[in-house]
Amino acid sequence: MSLFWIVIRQLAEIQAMVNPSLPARSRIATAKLEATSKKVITRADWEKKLNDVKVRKEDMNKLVMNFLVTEGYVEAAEKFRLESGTEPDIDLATITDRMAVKKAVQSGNVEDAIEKVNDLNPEILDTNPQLFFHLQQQRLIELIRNGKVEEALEFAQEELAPRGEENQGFLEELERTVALLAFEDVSNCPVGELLDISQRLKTASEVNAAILTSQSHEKDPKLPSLLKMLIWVQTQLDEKASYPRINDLSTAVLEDPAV
Amino acid sequence: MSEATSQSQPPAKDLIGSYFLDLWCHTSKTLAVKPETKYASEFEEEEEESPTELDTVNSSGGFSVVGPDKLSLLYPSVNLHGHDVGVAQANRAAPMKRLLYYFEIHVKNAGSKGQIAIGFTTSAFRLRRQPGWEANSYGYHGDDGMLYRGHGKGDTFGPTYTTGDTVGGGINYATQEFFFTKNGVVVGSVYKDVKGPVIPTVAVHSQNEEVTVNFGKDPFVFDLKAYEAEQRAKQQIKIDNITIPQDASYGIVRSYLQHYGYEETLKLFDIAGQSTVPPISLVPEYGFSEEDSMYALNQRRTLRQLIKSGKIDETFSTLRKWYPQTVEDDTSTICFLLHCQKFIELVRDGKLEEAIMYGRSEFEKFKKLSGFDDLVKDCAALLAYEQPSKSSVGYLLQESQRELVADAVNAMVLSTNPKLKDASLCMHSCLERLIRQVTACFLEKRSLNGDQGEAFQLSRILKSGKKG
Repeated sequence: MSLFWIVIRQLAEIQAMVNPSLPARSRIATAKLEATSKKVITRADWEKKLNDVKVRKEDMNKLVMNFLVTEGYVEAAEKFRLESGTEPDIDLATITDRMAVKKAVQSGNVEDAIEKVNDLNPEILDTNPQLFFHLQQQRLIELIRNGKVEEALEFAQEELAPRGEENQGFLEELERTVALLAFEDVSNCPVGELLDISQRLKTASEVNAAILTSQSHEKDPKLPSLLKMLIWVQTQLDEKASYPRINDLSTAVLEDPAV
Repeated sequence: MSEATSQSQPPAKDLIGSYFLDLWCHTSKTLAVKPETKYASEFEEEEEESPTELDTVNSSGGFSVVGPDKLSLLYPSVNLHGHDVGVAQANRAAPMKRLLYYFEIHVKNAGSKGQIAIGFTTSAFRLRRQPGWEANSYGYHGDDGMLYRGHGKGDTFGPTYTTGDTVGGGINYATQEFFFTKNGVVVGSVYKDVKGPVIPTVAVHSQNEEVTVNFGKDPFVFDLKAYEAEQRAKQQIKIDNITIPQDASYGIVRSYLQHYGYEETLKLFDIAGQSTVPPISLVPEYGFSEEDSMYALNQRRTLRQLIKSGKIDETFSTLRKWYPQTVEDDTSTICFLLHCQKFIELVRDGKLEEAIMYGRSEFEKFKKLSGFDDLVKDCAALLAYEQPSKSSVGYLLQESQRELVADAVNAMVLSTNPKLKDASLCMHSCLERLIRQVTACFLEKRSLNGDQGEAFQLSRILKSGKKG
């Protein structure tokens, strides 16, 4: 019991430092309140609550199928459909086409990618000027990367400059890209990141999302969102209760609260 | 099978068996009761009742008149002072287990002074005062456009309203606020400083004032669905900004495929993972090594395929060959599940006589299992219908039942792993544990919040974003 009072006195002292205007008695009173305001849930009680949650296998299968399909794992999705009996929420044939476009951009074959996108659905690039500009920009980057300076300049002047005139943002991007030509050591220049593979991946991702949207499908899988919700709700609940948490998403092991 | 899993826990196979039996019981209770609930809300909460009309018993007698349809309010006489307000509350409190609640009034006639109010009160409210004039009540008044929240003096809030206007009052449980609308536009919101249930309330106070009330029977003037989507989106942005480890989802999906024995899918998934740009590399899981997850993968796959094709006899013989310890006790739950499934398959094939004989010879020995009576009754009930799949026990003929048995067998086989440390790892995949945790946390959060607001519902997540 004396330990309890030592703690209370310490809390009151801390409060006094923080809030010198509060009279001493109310400081101790609020300190007592803070020490006991969080609800404590034991491991046993929490496991009972968990056991009351019934998760439908079908729903989990759907979540997994949604992941496979949105991320483009076609063969795996096809096999999962056979092994689990889950129907994909999108036509698997369209995934192959979409993945071909994504791969083309990731490998730097932008002209090929643009052709494929137009084969899939010519409206995608028509209704997405930003995407089209980024694809053209990527083409320019690839020309510069391959040392085709003349071609690059021609391409920039004929294809990209007109777009830049319509849009200030495009113009700035264009200028940044053309700046690559001004440097000897491109890997160390201020715009060197444009040559990095991450730039290709960014563009590839953009194209992937646009295709999914044009097919009335969500561009992101639902599973990562669920994981974020878990992190969010645990943080929220931490303010009011002490309970076993999951801190490692890959193992989903329950960790007892610190005493 | 290793007996050394743990001293304090009952043997793994009992835990596993009873878990799946319990799951079946739960399904039976929820699905068998409402067979037409195809899918959507079985695992969700019971519906809370909503207000549907004005309460005539409790409304202030004498000052105002509630119309015969109980959806209109009229103030016939002349008011004399501040304690003869004609107030009507709804017939029940606003439901709380949701994101928003909303209702509307339409001012048919603003009468001589337009002293109309819409708001929320508690059951303790003195029904002769305007909502907002007493503690624990809130009212948006038409004559001055002010928001009253428990004192005589109101706060400047929104526009006044009069004949022909439609005014709405709502509750946002996420932000703990009341909000009000006029003719389809939000005019403002205020913090809801009231605990416990609140009742939608309408009031009239000057001669010939008349309002009609809409609790949702007719479409609202305000686009509530759009507002709801907006509110969800706001919350979603906060959540979207949280970072998770890269490839966390990939790892969870992979472990899911391993856990349930989807061997072929796993193979293709791994190949695809290697050829992505950049290739995915996974940190090995703590406590549950690759070996453990891959244990008996091919055998589990085979067993699942057998059960999903209804080949129960073959399942039994295969189990006896490969994992005799799982079926050696023929009064165990796993045997019960398999025998019931065999019965179900016989009914599915139309072999009713054979099914009856089978049931009579096999079911008896499981009498001691908890839930035995109800579950056997469900199985037997299949025989009573010409079209059993459309009956209240039709769920037994669905894929989900085969899935349950397959998952149970899968868990039993996993439990035979001599290196297994924790039996509960056999029963739930990592994904399932995560979903349980997020669901339980949302429920606890709501419970600590006076049981107000939404819970986590996986089916809603799955349905969201679907267009057309």
